[in-house]
Amino acid sequence: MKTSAQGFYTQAATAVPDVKERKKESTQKQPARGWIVVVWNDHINTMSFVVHVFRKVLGFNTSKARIHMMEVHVQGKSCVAKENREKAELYWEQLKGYGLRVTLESTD
Amino acid sequence: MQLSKIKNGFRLLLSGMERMVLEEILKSLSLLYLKAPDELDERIRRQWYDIEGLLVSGYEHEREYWLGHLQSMRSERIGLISAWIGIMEKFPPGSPAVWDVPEDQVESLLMVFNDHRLYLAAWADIQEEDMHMEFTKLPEGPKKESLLMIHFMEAVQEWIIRAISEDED
Repeated sequence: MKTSAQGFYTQAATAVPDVKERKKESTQKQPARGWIVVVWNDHINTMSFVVHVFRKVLGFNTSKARIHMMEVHVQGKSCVAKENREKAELYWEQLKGYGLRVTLESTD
Repeated sequence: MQLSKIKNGFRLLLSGMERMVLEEILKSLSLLYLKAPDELDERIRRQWYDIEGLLVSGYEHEREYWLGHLQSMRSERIGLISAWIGIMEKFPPGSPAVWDVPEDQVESLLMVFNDHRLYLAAWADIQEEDMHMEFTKLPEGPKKESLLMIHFMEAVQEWIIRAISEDED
């Protein structure tokens, strides 16, 4: 973690898969189990940005967000949430949306 | 660049040069957001659409779903980006601009700016040691130019986060 065209409006967006259908199918196949959301260190995202993201996405207060950010910075990763699959996926995609390095791990 | 809080958001006062740079950044990101992950340069794809951590956890069969989902999250920002460019284009070419960013657009703006930093880092192969290099010691070239822009965008991010955090703490 770091310390411190013209005419495009009219272009059609690239088609994306029928995501809802895929999700529905795959979720039905999975048994219920716990998932942990892990954020990994990187050298581009800044400390204050990561703290901000933890607050926004995970609802941490500033103190807790800083503790997890420092864990990422010093230890290389931090488990920021343990949730059911659906919630863990939501966190994963939101954290990815901000550009953080994040993985999901099953607790089984 | 100056940033000040206004009711329900913040105001950016941009010089002619800053405004031109931001416009170019927004335009280039829009083009990249339109592309499917497989159409992107491998370095950029790995930076924005890395889902290996998901695949090893039993999501192999959902690869296409998640890639499509991450891309749609980005392409959905294009409308907002177009609106931002439209605001800046209302000012005569080369002149300073005033950009009022409402509260409900702040997070999207931070994501977009951060995507640009990640993009540049991937494109110019910026390593951790590069981020701490004394700027004047870097040889002229794409890496130095990318680092300059990465640090500029970082400063903008920091100002924004500081400004919006004042109300929250």
